[in-house]
Amino acid sequence: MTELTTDLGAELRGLVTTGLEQPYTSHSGFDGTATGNHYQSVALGAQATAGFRGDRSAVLDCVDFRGRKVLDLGSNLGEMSRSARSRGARLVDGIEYDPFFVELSQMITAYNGQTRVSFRQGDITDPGLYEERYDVVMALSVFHYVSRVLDQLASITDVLLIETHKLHGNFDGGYLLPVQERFPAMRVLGQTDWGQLGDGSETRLVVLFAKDRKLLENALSAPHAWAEPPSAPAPARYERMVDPAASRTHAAFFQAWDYEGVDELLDAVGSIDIPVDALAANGNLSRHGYSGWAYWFLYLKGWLSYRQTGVVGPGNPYFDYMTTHYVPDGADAAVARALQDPAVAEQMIRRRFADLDRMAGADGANVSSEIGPIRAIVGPIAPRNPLRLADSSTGETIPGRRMDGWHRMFGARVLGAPRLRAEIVEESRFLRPLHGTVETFSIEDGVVSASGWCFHPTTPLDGIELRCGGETIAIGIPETRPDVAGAHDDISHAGSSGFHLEGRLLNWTDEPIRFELLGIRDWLPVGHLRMDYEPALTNAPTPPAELLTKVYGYSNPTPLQMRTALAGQALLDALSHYRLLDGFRDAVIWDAGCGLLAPLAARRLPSAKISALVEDADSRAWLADTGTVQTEPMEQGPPTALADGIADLVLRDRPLAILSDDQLVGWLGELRRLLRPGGYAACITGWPEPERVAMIALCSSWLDVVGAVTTAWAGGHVIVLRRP
Amino acid sequence: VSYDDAPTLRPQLHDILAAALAERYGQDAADPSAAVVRPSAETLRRIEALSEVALAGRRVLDLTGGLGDVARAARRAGADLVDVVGPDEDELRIARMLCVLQDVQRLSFFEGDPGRPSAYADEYDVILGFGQIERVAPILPRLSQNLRGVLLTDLSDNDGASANAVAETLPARKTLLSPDGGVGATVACAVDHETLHHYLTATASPA
Repeated sequence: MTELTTDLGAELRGLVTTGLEQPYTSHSGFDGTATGNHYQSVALGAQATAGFRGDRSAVLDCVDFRGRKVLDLGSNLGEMSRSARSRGARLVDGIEYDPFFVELSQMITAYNGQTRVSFRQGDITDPGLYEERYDVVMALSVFHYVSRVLDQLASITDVLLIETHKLHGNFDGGYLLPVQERFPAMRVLGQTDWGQLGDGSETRLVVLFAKDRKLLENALSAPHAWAEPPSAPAPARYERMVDPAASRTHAAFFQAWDYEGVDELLDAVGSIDIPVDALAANGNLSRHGYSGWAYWFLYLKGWLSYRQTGVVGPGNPYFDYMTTHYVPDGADAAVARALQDPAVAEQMIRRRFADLDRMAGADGANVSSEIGPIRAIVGPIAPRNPLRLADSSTGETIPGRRMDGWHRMFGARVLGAPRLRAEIVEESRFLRPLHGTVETFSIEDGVVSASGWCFHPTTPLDGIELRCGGETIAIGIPETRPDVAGAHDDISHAGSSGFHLEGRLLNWTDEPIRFELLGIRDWLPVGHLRMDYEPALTNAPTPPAELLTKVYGYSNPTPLQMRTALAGQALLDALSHYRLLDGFRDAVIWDAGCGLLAPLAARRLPSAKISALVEDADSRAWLADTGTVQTEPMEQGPPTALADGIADLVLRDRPLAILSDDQLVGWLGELRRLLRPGGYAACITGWPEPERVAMIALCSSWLDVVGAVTTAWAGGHVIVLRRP
Repeated sequence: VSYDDAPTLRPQLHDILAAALAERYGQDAADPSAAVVRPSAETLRRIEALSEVALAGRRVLDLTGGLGDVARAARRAGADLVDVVGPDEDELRIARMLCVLQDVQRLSFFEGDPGRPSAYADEYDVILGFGQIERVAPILPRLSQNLRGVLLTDLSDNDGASANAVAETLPARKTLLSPDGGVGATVACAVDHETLHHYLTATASPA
């Protein structure tokens, strides 16, 4: 017996990687969605590979797998099975229909050296499969299949963990109704992503069902187990070689300066003298930046000057432009900040010129090994006019959203370098909610203007971007906000959170439209805040200034409208996952003030009779006058004068955080009284409050917590409660 | 949805394993797809002894090591699960990959020293201690706490001290295979005859 000279682990890893990259497409039998051959993100040794689905470890943390025998139905690449085992399961069996996935699951498990996790091929819709008993059965995103064998599942287990498919108002009828016939006790453990194809607003729930309450509690890792929202996995990165001549990143320049050869082009640029100030006054620079021609003209002129004089400093047209005009223009957030220091500017410009020198010296030869790779950011939704980078080996176009390497690409194109290395980085759809708010928002003649503040809970931002339908509308650098810093002194970067963004919207119509505010760090989005422009809301009657001052303490209606719009949309969007909004019949708006939730609710809950509970008599009178609330406003409690079981929906947009624990208990008790069995409530909780509300609701056993943290907003998160 | 055209990586895995087996074991190793990958007389004898034990539905701990030939045989004989504990990292990796190639479930390979009590965390119906009696004998009192049924091992004339240690902890014994050549007797041992009887097949009678 001799020692192996080959690295068997590396060979197995190579085989797994080959498998994950195979051009093989599996389809969901549920809705035909092509999920590729890399549905799950998997841990391969210390490395996590990015698949169609994000990380789901937080919901698994809520289940006590210790010592339990677990069956994983539709185990795909086996990541959930391995996760259950790593959380202490005694034995895990995964069953998967696709034999290729079974094979990959087994290889990944073998590579990781994991034990007591097995995978086999099988049809989970086959009733004959279910003979052996298990302590926990996991059916994650396979309900379409297992819904046919619920009786068999009930015969082999007392505890069933289900992840829904994408919810579209079908939680009650599609999931709770059939499953609770066999497993009456349930707890929603949290939300998970729908996958990379969506726009990020879709949701799935993970629900633990059990035959009775005691079994349910035994299966939970803690009495009030509640999952954090899914965390963002590291973005996928891969390397390509790009062909600068075939890429269309500097089209405006090369259209304007259409010369046969490099010498002719350089002669032409060198022979034209335009004062920098005059050129900067030309709109091409300020409006188009890198996409125009003028910036690149100055760049080439600067380099030609540097080649003659060896000087990078005042007098060099490019240096003069960058230090006197580029900074105030703020065309590139990351670079603009650095250029405030002339020494940094000189260093950066020398670096750029050195790349040009290298390319010029190579005289058309391949210099890709000497020039650092450019970086292109690509996203799940390509913008309408992407940066078109050409893959030099396949000719395929890579639709970039933004690029780090404009100058190298330009130099390579001008000086005839045939290839450049490119690191392609994919934006993640799995973003954490930003904490922040939009204070002003308007759309006039298609020009969007938004201001406010936002910060990421853990990561300082170096850019804030406004998008609509995948298009970047505007991007800016975070501005100083002492008031936000003061209000969040536990977060050191909260003060750098202000934004004022303005940009033009393409194809603008006066219809409801969704915007997304993205927090950018190192070129990539790390968090987001969604907001919907609701013409119905902004056109709604505005309360008189004296009433606003009395109720809210300020008289400007705009912040109120924004606050109501964001909070109301968040409440209704969250609810829409569970039950169709037109299915609600009797809605109560709690503490409606003289706000604008009522008209929004009236529009989005077309079948509901809406009652508004209002403390202030003047507000009651005003709301009644607007005619948007169908019944007379009345005094609120608790207790209220409303009858038991009067509502199938209660909405509350004033944060629950203002209530003490005792008040919260009283309020939740009243909520249970007002709601019919199966009725829902959606409330803003404050930030970061959902855990406290969830704990009290669960402790009381009055209400099931079925969702939380779906949307960030200045007031915090939404919690969705359901009366059992 | 049909997966008839699903790709497979098994041919590549087969080639990797065949090369690794040839390099490490030379002529001793057979084809990686074979039921017994290292078909030595000793291994075949141990597998033969398994037929004397009622393995169906049992939990088995295998301290024999190697490439898991005996462990896979135990699974084929109906064992509910088999855990293998062994110290050789390369051998364990090959054994895990063999299980992938041969599509064997519920067979796990733990890296550890069979002579250390901490290697055993679970309860087992059957422990296979072939070739390991000298390492296992000192910890038998501890190991027997994890044993509900029988220990299978080889005992040669040279194993006197170990045989005594086994007899002390697991006094009921049945010889399954007589000594053959240089290989000692293959025996099954348990805390009492009732247990022994319970875990052996009908063809065997307790000693």
